[in-house]
Amino acid sequence: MLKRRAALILLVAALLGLHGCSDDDSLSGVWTGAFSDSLGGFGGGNLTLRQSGAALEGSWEAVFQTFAGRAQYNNGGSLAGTVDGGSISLVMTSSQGSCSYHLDATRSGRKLSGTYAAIDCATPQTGSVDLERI
Amino acid sequence: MQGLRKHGFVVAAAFGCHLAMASLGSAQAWLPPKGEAWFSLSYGNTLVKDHYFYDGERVKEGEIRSHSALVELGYSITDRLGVKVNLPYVAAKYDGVNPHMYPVDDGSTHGTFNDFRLEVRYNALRSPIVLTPFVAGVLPSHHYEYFGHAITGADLKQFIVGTSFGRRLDPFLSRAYVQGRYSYAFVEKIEGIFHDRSNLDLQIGYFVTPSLQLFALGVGQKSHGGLVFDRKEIPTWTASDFHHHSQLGRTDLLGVGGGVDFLATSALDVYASFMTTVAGRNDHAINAQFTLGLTIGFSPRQILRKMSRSDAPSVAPGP
Repeated sequence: MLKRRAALILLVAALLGLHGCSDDDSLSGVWTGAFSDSLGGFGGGNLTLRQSGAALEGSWEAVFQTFAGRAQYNNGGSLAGTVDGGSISLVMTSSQGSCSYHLDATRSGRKLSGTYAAIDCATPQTGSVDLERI
Repeated sequence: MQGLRKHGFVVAAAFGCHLAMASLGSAQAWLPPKGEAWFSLSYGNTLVKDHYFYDGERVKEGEIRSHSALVELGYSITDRLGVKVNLPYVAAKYDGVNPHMYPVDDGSTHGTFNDFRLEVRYNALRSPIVLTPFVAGVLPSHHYEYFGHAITGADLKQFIVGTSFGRRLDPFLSRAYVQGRYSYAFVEKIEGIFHDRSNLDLQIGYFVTPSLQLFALGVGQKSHGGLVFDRKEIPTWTASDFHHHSQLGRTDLLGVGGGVDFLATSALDVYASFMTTVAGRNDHAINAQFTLGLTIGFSPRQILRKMSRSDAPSVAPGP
């Protein structure tokens, strides 16, 4: 009887362990999800962040749907910024030589969401992101 | 082996299609006798060519091919009370011009384990109508990608209640039976959005010989909330809506199919089935889904008894 109970406890512990309950406080990692862009429409993308103290650096990528010429707004590059508590401020630089973007985001557990706008760009471009660290 | 059948529809989960969550494979109204256990292994191959929009229109958005393997272990604690647990491994590939996100939709195959399912069943009525209520919990084995065409599941916790039912159709139609299951799933809310669902699955079978049966299948799903894939509404979605639309789709689906089941030995059952969706809203349309599987029945008590006998020292001659 004791063995059966021990086996049951081990099974439940294994299931919970596999599910993964912990959230890392650091922002370092790959955050993936959706972009909603005033020019590109809906798309998917990611931010790859490396955190050192309050400083952030890394890369980003956004891929929009291919219909209606939206794919011309696909973009990506490097990023740098800071984090203060749950508030994140990033400048995303395009490797394609297009405009840079300023992203203000908040992080809540595994979720990261925010809005962005092109910096000093001839064509205004704004959008929002909804990302999650998988 | 009676009642240990049809694990076919679990595989629809391969691409996040919620139809799969109430697998007909679990329709088992009849339970094995006390002390009997079973191990089941099935393979599913699913092809999606169309997406259903809110009005039922089928739209070509690329092809999704998914493969899945399901391992299940079950045990009858008593003649009326049974428990089972399963875990699928799913691999999917998207081939089309409208990827949602990379790498999941990059044209290559990506696979992972998706959700544990633990189910407890109690056989309340035995004859002539069999009624077996159940409760089940679905827990993602880990956090996996749920955004994209070629996703492998919804990454959502669920609590499911329902009942299986069945009846032999003799004396009206000898050798035939009908069984099914209704379930209601309390699904983890996303962004505060309610999206529970109901599933109704039916199976009609006929024993051509005592060990060979043919069966027809019908599966249905009705969502009680969630996002509608309306071309007018989609542009008003937020990034979060788009991110979670596969999890939150107000999915209604109707599928039909059939298969064959062969009891090869008293402890080995093999089966094959086919299914396709004939109508739906706000989800992927399943063009074709093939499933192959086997179930092995065994008695853990007898195995332990045999092992203890073989381990026992031979009897030494007395002094």
